[in-house]
Amino acid sequence: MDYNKLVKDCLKGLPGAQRLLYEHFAESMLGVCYRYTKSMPDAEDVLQEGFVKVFRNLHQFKGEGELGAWIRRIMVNTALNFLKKNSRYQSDLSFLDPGLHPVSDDNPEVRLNARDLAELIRQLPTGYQTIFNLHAVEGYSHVEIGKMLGINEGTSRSQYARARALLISWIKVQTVDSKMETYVRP
Amino acid sequence: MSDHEFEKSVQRKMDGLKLRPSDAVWQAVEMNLYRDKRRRRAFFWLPAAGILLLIGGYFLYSGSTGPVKDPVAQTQESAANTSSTQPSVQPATRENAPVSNPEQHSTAGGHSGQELSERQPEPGNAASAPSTNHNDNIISNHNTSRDRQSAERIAEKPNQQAHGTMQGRVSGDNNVNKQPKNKIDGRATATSERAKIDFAATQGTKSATEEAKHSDPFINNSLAGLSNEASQPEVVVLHPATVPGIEPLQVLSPADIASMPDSTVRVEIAALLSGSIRCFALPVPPKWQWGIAGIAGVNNISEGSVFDLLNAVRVEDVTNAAPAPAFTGIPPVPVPEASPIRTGPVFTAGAFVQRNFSRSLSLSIGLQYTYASAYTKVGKRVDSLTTVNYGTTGSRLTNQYYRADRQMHDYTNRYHFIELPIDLHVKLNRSLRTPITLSGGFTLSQLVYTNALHFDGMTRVYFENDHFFNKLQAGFQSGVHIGLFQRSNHPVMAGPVFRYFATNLQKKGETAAEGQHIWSAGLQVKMLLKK
Repeated sequence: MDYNKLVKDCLKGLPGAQRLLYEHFAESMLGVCYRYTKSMPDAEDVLQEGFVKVFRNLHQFKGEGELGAWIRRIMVNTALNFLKKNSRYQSDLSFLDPGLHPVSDDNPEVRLNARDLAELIRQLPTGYQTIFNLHAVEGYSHVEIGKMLGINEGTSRSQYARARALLISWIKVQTVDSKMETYVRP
Repeated sequence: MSDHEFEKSVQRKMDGLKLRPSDAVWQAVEMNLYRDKRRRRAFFWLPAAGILLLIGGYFLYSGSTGPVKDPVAQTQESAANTSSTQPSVQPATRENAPVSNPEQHSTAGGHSGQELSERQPEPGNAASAPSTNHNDNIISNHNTSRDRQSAERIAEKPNQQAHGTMQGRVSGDNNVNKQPKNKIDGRATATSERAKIDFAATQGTKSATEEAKHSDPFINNSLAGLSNEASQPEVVVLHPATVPGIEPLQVLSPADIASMPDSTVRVEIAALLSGSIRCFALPVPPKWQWGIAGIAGVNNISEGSVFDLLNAVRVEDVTNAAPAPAFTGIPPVPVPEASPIRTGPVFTAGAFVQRNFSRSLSLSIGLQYTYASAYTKVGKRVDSLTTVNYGTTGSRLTNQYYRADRQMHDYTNRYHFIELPIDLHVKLNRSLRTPITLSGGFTLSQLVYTNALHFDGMTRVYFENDHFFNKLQAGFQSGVHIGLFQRSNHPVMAGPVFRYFATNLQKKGETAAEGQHIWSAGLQVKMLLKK
């Protein structure tokens, strides 16, 4: 797909091009929004708001870098704003001071499918969930995360370690369960 | 496994996570884009209107055009036309109303108004429908899922809804009385958008449907599925006396309903009467609103009454300079004339508080600053002590004056006012998208500073003296405003205004001033900050 032409057409206000751009990225971007929220309606809210921002700010996309990555950044930022603004998430989005945190070298193999893994990530407390997504999935450093969330680097590191440990323990349980299930039902 | 193998694995899996969003998400996005486009258009239109107004003002001042029709009179005329057409429809529609057609009702499988109103909310959506607060902004808040819920409601069952509406019958006003009001309110906002479509569809006239299509892309999409079976449009006015227990109802034209913004409209009763009749009760506006206002336009000075605005005016001669006595055979020496005064710009900025008494009547009081100016021509400035005259015998010293030379240059008379305007606003139409309001009121203005010149006809000099001005000015103003961006959180009212200070600019008793008045015309823009 010729993204440059698509962007130009969108900037001209052609409804067909806007629809095409939306349909091309909507599914993967909903996956992003889904990971940051706790419910599908919330994820769709973020997606909707994110795409409105995308179309309003499309003139700022200079064609440098990938369009998908640019849209994804907008979605992530929109999701973070949503979490900050939404009272349902605010209480759970408090970050405690960095203290001792589990240091684990455990690197279990993830055999779960994408949806199941996303469900586990969404089970994490919002603070853990957000930092895990930002660091493990988006690849932001703890310094960057600290700036994005207004916390210090140590807090981000600590929260991430806890989130990682918790998630790994759940993944292990899930993997054992699925193995047992496979054994019981040949 | 390496140190970051877990993260890489998670990242790979999450990159592959794709979920299909519901169709309503795109509809909500599209609605926002459409709204942006319309806002841009409106912003493009506003400067053009301002330029037109300034050009009009210029011609008004220069007198190069014919008599200009008073915009207030024009609006009143159009309002009179509107009101004269509406009642003429009323008797005909009452006659045509197929209220007493129970057979058609039963065979068509229709529902009474009560049944219909209870049936309207979708079971799943009823719980999540917005509350009874009819001021909730359903459309504009794109951050919430309410947009999509509303859009879903439109998209889900348009055919069924429209069909049910067209077949709906009410056997009489008694049924209306029995309707539980809270039930109606409960689904009011949830069904407003759909009801709008229903109404347009039931009109059966091409114009109504076309208008509805142009109003919103959702309507456009949803109307595609609607059938064209329809009866003729009917308009019935219901008064509280005929429908006790229900708020006064207002009948809207198809155009009004097609342009009805969800944020302000509460659908009170759907299918109140038989067939295609729909009645909607408009929400009572909040008691208090406030906002900011500004005026840009032209300012000038006039002499005589308010009807002498276009007469040329000169700098006020504050002396009683009489022509020199004529000697035998020699014509009298004429009194030298002061320079003429020309139009200058005027700007006003301030804030106001508005008290709404009803849907069509409100009163506002404001506090504003006004800069007004007018140009004239003076000669060379002299920074030297001299005596200037005023009145019959008065004289005083001034250390700066301007001569009335042959070589004259422009001088700007500047007036700075702090003002307290009080206006009464009357809404002239019923449109919710573009309400037209006639405003009129008076202003108390305190002249805080001026450098305007007086003319001493005896010594032919121009001089400053703000002591000669009436510092407290009382004036009146009038204007017509058109509402813009009524769906937004900050609706705008814009339109031409005219203002005239009835108080004499100069003190009459002290000077020999004949009585000049400041007047201005311009474009006023008011923005509500608390809707």
